[in-house]
Parts: sequence; C-alpha cells; structure tokens
Amino acid sequence: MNKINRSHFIKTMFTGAIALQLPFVFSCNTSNINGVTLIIEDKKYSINTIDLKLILDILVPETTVGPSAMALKADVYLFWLLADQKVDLSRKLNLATSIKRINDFSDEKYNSSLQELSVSKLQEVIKAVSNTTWGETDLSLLMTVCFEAMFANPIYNCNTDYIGWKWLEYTAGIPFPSIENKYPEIMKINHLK
Amino acid sequence: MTNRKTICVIGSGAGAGPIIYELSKGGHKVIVLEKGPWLKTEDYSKDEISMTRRDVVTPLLEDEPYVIERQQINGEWKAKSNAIGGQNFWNGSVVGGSSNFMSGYFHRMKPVDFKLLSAYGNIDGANIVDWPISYDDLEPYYEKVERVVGVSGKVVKHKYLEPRSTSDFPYKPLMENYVSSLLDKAAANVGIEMIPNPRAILSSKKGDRSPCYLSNFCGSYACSSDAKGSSRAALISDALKTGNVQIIPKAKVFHLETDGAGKIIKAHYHSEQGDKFIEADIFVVAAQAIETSRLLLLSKNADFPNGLANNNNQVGKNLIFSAGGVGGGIIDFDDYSDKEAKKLNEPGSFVNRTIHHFYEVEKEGLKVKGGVVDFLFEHANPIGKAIRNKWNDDGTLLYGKEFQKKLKHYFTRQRKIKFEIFIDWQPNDNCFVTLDDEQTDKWGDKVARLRLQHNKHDVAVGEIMAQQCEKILEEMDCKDIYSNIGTLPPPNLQAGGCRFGDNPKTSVLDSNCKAHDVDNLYITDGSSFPTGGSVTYTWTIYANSFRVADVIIDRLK
Repeated sequence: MNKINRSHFIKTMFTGAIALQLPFVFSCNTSNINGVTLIIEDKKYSINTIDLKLILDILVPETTVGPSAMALKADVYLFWLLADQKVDLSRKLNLATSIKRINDFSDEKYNSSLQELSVSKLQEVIKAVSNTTWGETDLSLLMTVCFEAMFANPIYNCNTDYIGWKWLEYTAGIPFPSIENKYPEIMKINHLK
Repeated sequence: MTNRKTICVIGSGAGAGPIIYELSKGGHKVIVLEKGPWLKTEDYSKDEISMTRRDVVTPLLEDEPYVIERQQINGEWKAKSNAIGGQNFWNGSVVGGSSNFMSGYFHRMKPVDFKLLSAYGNIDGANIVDWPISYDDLEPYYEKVERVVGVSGKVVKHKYLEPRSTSDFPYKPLMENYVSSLLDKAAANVGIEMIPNPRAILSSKKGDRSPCYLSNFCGSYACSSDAKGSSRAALISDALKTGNVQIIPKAKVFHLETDGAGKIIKAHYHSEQGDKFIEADIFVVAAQAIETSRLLLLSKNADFPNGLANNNNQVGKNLIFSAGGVGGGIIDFDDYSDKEAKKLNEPGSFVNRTIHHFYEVEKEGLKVKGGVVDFLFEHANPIGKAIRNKWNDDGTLLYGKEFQKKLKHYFTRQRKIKFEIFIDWQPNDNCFVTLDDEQTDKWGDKVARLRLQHNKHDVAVGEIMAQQCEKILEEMDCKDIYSNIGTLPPPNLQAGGCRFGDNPKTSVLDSNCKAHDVDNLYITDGSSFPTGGSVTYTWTIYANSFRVADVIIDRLK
C-alpha cells in the first residue's frame, strides 16, 4: 500500500490564482500523489487520492460495459473543479469533504479504513453509505463529476481519446471549444468594437 | 440628417435589438449599455462545460442575488436570498442577451390574447386587463420579424390560425426528423391537429448569416452560423454597419437621473473603470422584466420618491411568466426496424411540431383560454442526460455496472420525445418586484426582491392539455409516459412589471410604451405586457419593439 508521501495545495480564492493553478493540476499524475490539500474559503480540506480512486472505481468501474471513472480521468477533473471559482461553493465543500466522510464511516461502522477493505467489503460499505441521506448526496455529487469527465471535450484533460463519447456513440456539437474560448478563457473575452 | 438625436439603450436582447436596428438605420446615434461582455459568433462553441455547467453568461448568484418570497403552507410569506443556491433568474448577460441562447420556437399571440378580459372575463385571484393595442396593430410587425429576424416554417390553415398579411413564412421549414411524421399520424389518430412549428432559425442564407447546419445544440447555446435570430446576429450586426452604434459592454446601469422636470438626462453605470454616465435625448430600457423594474425602482429622486415612473406605485406589479409544464415518453428502438431507429436517432434534424388545437379548452363546463404545446426531442446535452439516469425507479442511487448498462441503453437504444405546454400566467397581487432593504449586489445596489405566486387555474388548464398530449404519445406506443404541470415560474420566460395602458393610475407606460410620467423613457422588453399570451414571448417582444421604434422615429422627425 502506498503511503501518503506528499501533498499539494490548491487555493481557490481568486480567479487569477486559479488560472495559474489549473496547468499545475493537469500536469499531475495522480497515481503518484496520495493526498491533495485544498484551501477553500481559508479552510484546509485534505482528499486522500487512494480513497478517492477506490470510491470512484465502485461508482463507475472498469467493466465489459464501459470505461471507468479513472480511465475518464474523473479524479483530475475533480481537482480542477474544486479549484474553480465559478463552481457553487456548497457543491465544492460537499465534494471536498466527502471522501474523508466516507472513510470515517467505514472506520466507524466497519472498524476498517477504505484502503484495508476487500473489494466485496468495499462494495458493502459504499452500499451502506448510499443508504444514508448524507452518503447518497456525496456519492451522487461524485457521480456527476464522473459524468462531466465522461462527456467534457478532451481539451479539459479528461475523456481522453473521446472514450466517453465513443462508448455511448455520442456525436458532440461543432465547433469544439478551442484553447482560446474554452472555459475559463471564454470569460476573459470582451470585444470593445 | 438635421435632427440627429442620441438614443441610449439599456440592454441588448430581443427588446433592445429592433430599437438599435431601426434608430441607427434612421441616422440617429445609438449608445448601447450592456451589463455583460461582448462575445461574437466565433467566440462561442458547443461546449457543454462552459455553456451549461459553469454559467459563463450569467453572473454568480453570490455576486448578484435576488431575494425570493414564497408562500408557506401556513399562508405566511418567507423570504430567502438565492445567493447560496436557489432559483436563478439571470438568462444571458452578454451582448444580445438571452436571445443568443433561445431555442427559437416562435409563435405569434392571437387576436384574443389582446383582449382576454373582454373575451373570457376575469379569473378568481387574477388581475386580467385587455391590452391597449390590438392584434391588428402588431400584425405588420410580426410580419417584419419574419422577414428581418428570419422565421422559417410552413403556414397551414387551422382553427386558431391568426390573421396574416402574407401567405407563408419567408424561409422554408428546417430539416425534420422522421419522428415528425410519426407525431402527425398519432395526433390525427386521436383527433388532435398537429401543425408545423415555425422557428426563428434560417433555413437558407440571409446576408452575412448562414443557414442552420443542424448542430443539434440550439437552446442554451449561441448559434455558430448565425442562423438563429438572436438580437446580436439578426439586428445588432447590421446596425453596427451604419456606423451609428456604440456598444459599451460590461456597463451595469444603476441609476437614471432626471432633470427635475420629468425628463431623464443621464444613465449612470458601473464599469471596470469606475462609475460613468451617458447623456442622451431618449432612453430605452430593455433589461428583461425583473431588472427593468429594478432599475426604475433604484432610480429614486425628489420628483420620483418611489422610483422612476412610479408615482402611482405600479412599477414591479403584475410580474408574469409563462405557465405550463412538460411531459414526454421514451421511443424504444426495439419497437422499430433498424432503418427507422437510425432515422429516429439522427442528430440535428428538428421535430418542429406544435399543437394550437387547445387554444381554448373546456374547464368545468366553461370555455376557457388554453395554450400551445411544442414537441421536441430531449436536449442533446449528455451530462444532463446522465445525471437524470443515476436514479433507480424507487429514487435510490444507481451506480456501478448496472448504471453503465442503463446509460448505454439510454444513449443507444431509445430516444425521449418531449412536449412543453405554454399557458397564460395569471397576473396577480402576489407576483411582483420590489427592492430588498438589506441585500445588495457586488456593487452595493439593492437587489430585486421577488414575490412569486401562481394561480391554481393555470395548473388546472395545463393538466387538461397534458392529458391530451399523453394520448398522442400513447398512440405512438411510447414508454414511461409522464407529464408535470409546474407552479414555479420559468426564469427565462418573464414579462410584466411595467404594464402599458391608457390609465396612468393603473399602468406605468402608455400604449406606445413611453412612461406616462417621463417624457423620454421607453420600455421595450416584455415588461409592458399586461398578460403574456400562451406562447413564448420573444416574437411579440421583437414585434412590439419594432412598433415602438417607429413611434420614436416619428417623434424625432
């Protein structure tokens, strides 16, 4: 089992700061990072990326039916979203605290952290989480992150090689976003005449 | 020209576009103050992340919230800010406004819509009045919109067809999906008249604008060929060629200053470079209904202690929306041949079917005003579709392999056909705009406080129509048929708040949409509408704005 060996800090306070941080997030190979710490509204939130991967692998697994959340780079997308000033604060705070909350539930109810559980036991824990009101909200929000990663244009560093689109035989609209007018760059555009 | 005047237009959407277009072509100087940035056609893409998941064309609610009052079960009114979540009433703060992002389902109001009180009488709890103008007054301008903005379709005779000065639309119908023929057949089988739906989308080239290229992403997205008749693409682009138009983007008007004699002299606005003002001869406000009323209420002074043009306390009253609801059903490809399924799943082609058959319906033995129904496919946005599929039938969360199976089937083996019902929203004493005394926006200006209430009559009428529409989908053997008549106001279909009428005591504007109390103030968005008709408003807003443009041009001669 990998140990948490380093953390990264993403401060989601100002649009300018976010713009600087996004390339950094995209440059991360999250398989080598065990923890990410975010500062949202001056509070620190730590997300264990191994726990995150375990949960996402249950929600959208690699199966004969379709690609996994990790193949869609939903984890990378999540960190980008959490660093985004335009995302609703309550959504960000829920997402930022969800992984720890689910792990704490596992510790409390099953006397074991997520990383120590067998695959079948992990399934059982996630099922139990989904049966709670808070847990259903957390998992639902994480699934929506997976959907955004599944269907976003690959210019957002997810949906690599259009695997989400190809899987569902989805025809995206044209024109695609470009480096100049993708989000958040589009928000800087303002013609004066 | 010798009598060149300066016109200041606040807003740049459907209510503003005809004013900008006509006054600039008439040789006048037009200065447009638009709250949002100026994006052009090439700046937009069909990117679901930027256009629907991040709201780049609307402000953050924490920066520009509203306070919304809703009635509780015990009858008390409870106010809550939407700053940290809640219904969002912003629709498009960019040059061209929300017309950039409309779907362009276009319907004229019918003659009876201009005299609902005379035709049907009042409804309990409603403040219905007749319009001060008639359908005949507006018909030439409806026709002008067809020609100038561009409306495609095919006119067919039916019981409720409104009188027309031309025999058909100037642009042929857009390419239709196979499902349109199935809808025609099913409707005929159950005795309902289904007709083609006109759209504000070009099917052939018009000047610099290219025809529709069937992108499959129309509503919520700006058009990348300029086929859609947004105020920006259809009117402002041409107006700019006159050299008489100056657009000032990111200019949020917060106060209209008067001279003490009932005339506006300056529009003050917030900009990134600080507060500034514009002087003009005529001021036209078209900021969309809620913001228009808010601006007048913010513009208090000694002459207008209750707000500009509000000495009779009518500004903000009788806010209306479009009442109605939605329904739909699943077309299961297993019920069709492979060839048919392929045609049904073809992206881009339009459904473009509508029902006017229910423009008058029977309720409790009486003839009452009904409305229209538009048929369409479920929006192609895939993230939205996936979100709606993450729930089991029992409401529990679905995930894992079973979810993947469901999603795969949903995207590849079926298609959802929907219907949208539009009926009148009864104006009433508990649907209005005021200013909130405590909450301010990011500039420190008081925000709009909305009290919102629907009329149960509207729900009953909507349900009568929904039941009939479900029969059509049953006839098509659709699965999972449903309908839901809502009570929440659709934020993108707002009007009222500054009624026009002949009596200054009960209306804000005269029949030409000039403020009774202010000599040089016109309002040309949907704010003037006393009732809304049972159609989407955009065509009527365009037509009325063209009419007022003629009035202003005549005045300035």
